[in-house]
Amino acid sequence: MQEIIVKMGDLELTTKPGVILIAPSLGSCVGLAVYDQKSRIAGMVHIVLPDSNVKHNLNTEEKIGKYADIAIPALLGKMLSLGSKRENLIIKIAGGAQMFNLKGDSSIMNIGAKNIEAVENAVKGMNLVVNNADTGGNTGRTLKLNAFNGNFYLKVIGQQEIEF
Amino acid sequence: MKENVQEILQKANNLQYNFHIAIKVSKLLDDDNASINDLSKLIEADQALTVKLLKHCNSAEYGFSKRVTTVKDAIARIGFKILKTMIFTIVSKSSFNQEIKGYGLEKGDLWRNSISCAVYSRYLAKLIDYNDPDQAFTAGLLRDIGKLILHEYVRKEYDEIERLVNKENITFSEAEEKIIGLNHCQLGALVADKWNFPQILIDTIKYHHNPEKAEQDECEDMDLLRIVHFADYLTVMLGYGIGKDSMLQEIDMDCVESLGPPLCNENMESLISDIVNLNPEIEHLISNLE
Ligand SMILES: [Fe+2]
Repeated sequence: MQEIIVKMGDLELTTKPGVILIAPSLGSCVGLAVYDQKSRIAGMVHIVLPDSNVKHNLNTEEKIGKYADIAIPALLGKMLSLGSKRENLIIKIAGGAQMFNLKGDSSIMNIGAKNIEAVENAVKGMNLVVNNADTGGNTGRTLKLNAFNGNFYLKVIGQQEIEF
Repeated sequence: MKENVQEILQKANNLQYNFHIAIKVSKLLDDDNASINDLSKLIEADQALTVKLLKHCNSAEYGFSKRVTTVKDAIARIGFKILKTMIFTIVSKSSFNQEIKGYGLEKGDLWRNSISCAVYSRYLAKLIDYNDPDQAFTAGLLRDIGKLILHEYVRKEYDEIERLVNKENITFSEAEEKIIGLNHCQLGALVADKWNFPQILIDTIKYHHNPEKAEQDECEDMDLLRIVHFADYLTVMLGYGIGKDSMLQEIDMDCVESLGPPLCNENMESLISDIVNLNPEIEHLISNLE
């Protein structure tokens, strides 16, 4: 088994059956994993922020998986262009947590919730649905996808890994 | 409860960490009359430290075309300020780079988390023109030092602490204090004081989860504390080596925003975007110290 760590802002797509995609330590970030059951293509993004418009001039070296509005169309669009059919795609998301207690009214504090919303909207925008989600709350998570069998796994920090 | 605290302090007393050398170096650096000779003598007395220091100076990060072969040479090339953060970083690794069970941290987690907090702190310090970004690095690096000792007690009492967090809607550190008798911030500060850390570091350790308390206690460098408080939050939200307690803390954004316009509400998402771009630097630092 080859593990590919999908770091913040990374986008990974694989057709290799021996690969496990892993988005580790998701705090306010949201990991999205997608699997095509027919053609066995697996994809994952590790999204940090909801909207690329926060940057007036987007750095050309900016990672493609960083912002939900760019990352989701990029990943799902790529799968569709590789011949995936919408009805064969399974999509699962995890992350978008926030700090327990918040003082003040800065917009930064609900960044997790904004990420979740942006990801869900972007998936909807591609005429697809999220099949399963473990999001919000005050806990870190790790999301995994086995490209061989399309099994998804979720690990909440301090707990056992579960199939998801 | 009191007995518990006595026992913990006793335990802390018996622990041998190698921070003393870092403290000595940093005290010497703060002394205007210190010479490169004095410093190199002090460092060379610790062979393991010397080897690691030279190795780090010769890493690609500094890009010296000629190999650094002596401590004297190293100091002359990197300068006093970087020397200080480098020594603290090197000596912290052996303590921080281990499994910290009570907080659900696997080996490497707390180390990664601390390095991230250090790098983010230095970045924020530069952003707001704080006068000593390297000091911010060290303060960010060491803020969770109390966890090194408290984790065993947290492990025993974890269910109780978690129950109290949920029942009373208080933060993890508040629950730690109620159940164990003191939290990782208070214990860290006591230990840091015992080991003769400079006051400024004792304060950032003590108040990094509640800067507002520091204001009441008239802590001398509030800006540094605010920087570390916010860097701690960013480290957690961006998920670097976080533990079971990490998100069960509190963030005081009013306090953070008082650092000035670069940290105002409108700039936050853009700031996070920039902060994420520091991640390769964190990876470098971690692999250079392997
Ligand atoms: Fe802490």
